This record gives sequence, C-alpha cells and structure tokens, in this order.
Amino acid sequence: MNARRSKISILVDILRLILRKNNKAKPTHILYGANLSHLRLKKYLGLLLENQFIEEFAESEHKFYRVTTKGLEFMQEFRKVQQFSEAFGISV
Amino acid sequence: MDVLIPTRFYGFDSVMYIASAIIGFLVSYYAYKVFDVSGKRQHYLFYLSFVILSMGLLTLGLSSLNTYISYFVYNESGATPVDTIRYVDDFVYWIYYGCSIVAYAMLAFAYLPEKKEMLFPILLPFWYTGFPYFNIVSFFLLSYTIFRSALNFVDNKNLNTLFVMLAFALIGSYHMLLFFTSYSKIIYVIAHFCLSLGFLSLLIMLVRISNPLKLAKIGIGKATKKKIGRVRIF
Repeated sequence: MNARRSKISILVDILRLILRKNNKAKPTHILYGANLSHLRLKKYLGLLLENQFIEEFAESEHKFYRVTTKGLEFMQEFRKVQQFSEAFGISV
Repeated sequence: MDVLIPTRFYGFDSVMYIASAIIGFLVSYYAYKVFDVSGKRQHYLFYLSFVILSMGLLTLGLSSLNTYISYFVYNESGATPVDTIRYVDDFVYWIYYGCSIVAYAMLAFAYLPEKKEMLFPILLPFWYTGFPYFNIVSFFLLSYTIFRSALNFVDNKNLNTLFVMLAFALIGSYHMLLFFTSYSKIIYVIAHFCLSLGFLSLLIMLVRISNPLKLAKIGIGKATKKKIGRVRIF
C-alpha cells in the first residue's frame, strides 16, 4: 500500500476534517488533523478556495472554514471514483 | 474449426453482444471519470480498453443480427443469400478479434508496474489466425487480469471487488468455452450466458457505486445539504 497520499486524497481529507468539526474548522485544526506543514496547508486551502469547495468566514475575531455545497458534491463524486478504483484494484 | 450454434439461439447472442457493449461503455465512462480526477496513465488504459472492447462487441452484435435476419428472410423466401453478407460478417469478426485483443492487452498493461510494461509485448503471441487461436489468446491475456482482480478481492474483501473478479472470470470463461464449441451446441449458449453474466456483474457493481439511496442514508442527500452544519461523515 502506498503511504504517500495523492493530492486529491489530501483535499478530500481536509474536507472531511472540516465536516467532522461541525463544518466550522480553524486553520490550526486542519493543520494538525490533516498532518500537513504550514506551507502545504496554505497551498491546499488555496486550491479548495479557488475551486469554491470551501469558504472562509470570520467569527469572534477568528478565521474559520466551512465546506460548500460544491465541496459536498465533489466529495460524493470522489467517493464513487474511489469505490470504482478499489473495485478494480487501482489507486486514485 | 466448426462452431455449432443452436438455431433457436440465433439472434440472442447478438442481443447479448449489444447489451454487453452498452454496459462496457458505462464502465468506460466511470473509468474516464477516474482518469479525469487522477490523470494517471493506468486509468486512461482502463478507460480506453473498455471503450475499444465495447466498440468491437457492438459492431459484432449489429453485424451478426443482420446476418441472422437475412438468414430468416432468405429461408422464408427460398432465395439465395448474397455473398456480401458473409464477407461483411467475416470482416466484422476480424474487427472484433482485433478490438478484443487490444482491449485485453491494455487491461493487462494497466495492472503491470510501469517499469516492466515494455517486457509484456514479448510474451504476446501475435502469430494467430482465426477463431480458435483468438479465443486462446484472449483467455491468455485475460488470465492476468483475472488473477489481479482475484488478488484485489483477497486484499479488499467487499462486494464490489467480488463483482469485478466474477466479471473478469466469466468473460474469461466465455472465451475458454468458445474454444470447445465444435463439440456441442449447448457450449455456445453457455459461453454467451457467461459473457452476459460477466457484464451484468460489472453493471451491478456500477449501480452499487452510484446508488443515491445509499447517499441519503449516510446523510449526504439533497435534503440534508441545507443543514450543512449537521452533516455526518461517511
């Protein structure tokens, strides 16, 4: 089994993490939960924001992220892709 | 080599080829979605192999249907069938042979580690002509794919991997059984049922993957999208 995660898997892991925090996660929660360096986290959050899979909002002077409807749809599609790949024994 | 086909089965094999082709195109559509996400060459080979296999099956299905219809029409009228029907049928079989061999080789390539791909062509016996050799070569190429899908089922014991293993095993059985069709008519029928069941197995796997009811149960349906804060994770 390949220990290195693919880029897509990391993006999905971040989305799952945000949802686990009742769809309201601070950058530090994601940093520790997704096991990423600060630089890589910034890069992946940038990708997710660019594709409108997550949105940023402020509350009590803190920055939070939440998954958008588009992000949920992306997770649904990725789940199908992952199940299809696993069925044939090929990694995503 | 003679192929014994029961008269009552005429036309049913054509329908089976066409149905299998439709399912094959569906599988290739999903494989393309995987390739779209990953961009990996392995996934592209999967997509291309199912497209090419389906094209061959569809062409064969339509041509054999035309041959059977013309057989019944000429039988009724007592006229002599035109030679071009036979030649077109032969030509289409060669297209189907070529498409199948290429598709099965691509599937085997997809499972090989990338560095060792170039060794594989050396093992391919291209010195074949005609029906019996085609089925042996097809079975030979598919056997590696069947083996890999069986390994995958052993590693990830779930229904989806089981359906894929069954699918490849049944398609392999189809080619193996066709090799023995000169001994009994029933073997031809059983072979085609194996082919149909193989593609049906792939269809069941696809339906399981894209089942919207399953998504609703795990709380990611349209109704729950409004309550994004309370969505459960799968």
